[in-house]
Amino acid sequence: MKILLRFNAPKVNLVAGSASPQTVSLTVDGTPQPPVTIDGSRLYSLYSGSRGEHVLRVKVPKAGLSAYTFTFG
Amino acid sequence: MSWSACTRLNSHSRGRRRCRDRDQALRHQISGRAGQSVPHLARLRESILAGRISDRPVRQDRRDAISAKATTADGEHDRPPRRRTRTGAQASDPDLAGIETPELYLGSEKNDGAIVASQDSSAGERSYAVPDSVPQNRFALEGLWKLSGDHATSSADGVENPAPLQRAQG
Repeated sequence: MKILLRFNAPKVNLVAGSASPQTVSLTVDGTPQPPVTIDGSRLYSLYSGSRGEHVLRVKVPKAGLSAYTFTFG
Repeated sequence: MSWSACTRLNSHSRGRRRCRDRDQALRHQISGRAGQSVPHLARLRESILAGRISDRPVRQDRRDAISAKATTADGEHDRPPRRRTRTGAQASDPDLAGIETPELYLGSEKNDGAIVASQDSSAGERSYAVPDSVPQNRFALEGLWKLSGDHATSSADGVENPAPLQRAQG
């Protein structure tokens, strides 16, 4: 399962939670980013980089990940 | 204490001190606006000096009055100037210049206009296919997801392109 997002901002966060901890893999404009482990429901920083338009791909390995909101900084 | 009593007690040392206090009180008698004498104010002054008046808590209306005094004529509260960084920018102001995308909600209640137009935004569980393109400020889902009011939940363990089931050859 994946989430694709096209955004224009230097930072992306995701409010998410998971029934059991799981690590999502990320790419921004095709470049791999450090993976993020989702456990409790809170704000996770997914990307911090340059300004401009980017495409984020979030690959979710397991069921039970709840994604609420993308926020930008 | 009357003057005659003062005279009677004059021989006693304590009485002499009382009469001296009485003389001082008369000499420093405080008068009100109408010119009347207000002897109890002298006692009040003595009580304050002796520390006998308790520190009563300030009443709420008194606090409000103090707060109202701190409000300027245009309704703004007097506040200390905000801290500035070395570059002169206000420390509490985030850099908003580079943010073109608003926050995006994944749940079915608020995802209208956030999820790509070709994907179903209503509540329920369904399999999504990746669209050809994702416009700016929009997101798309791929795989099995369940949309609820305020969130989207992944529903299958890492199955992106499930192979069709094949019957076992008997």
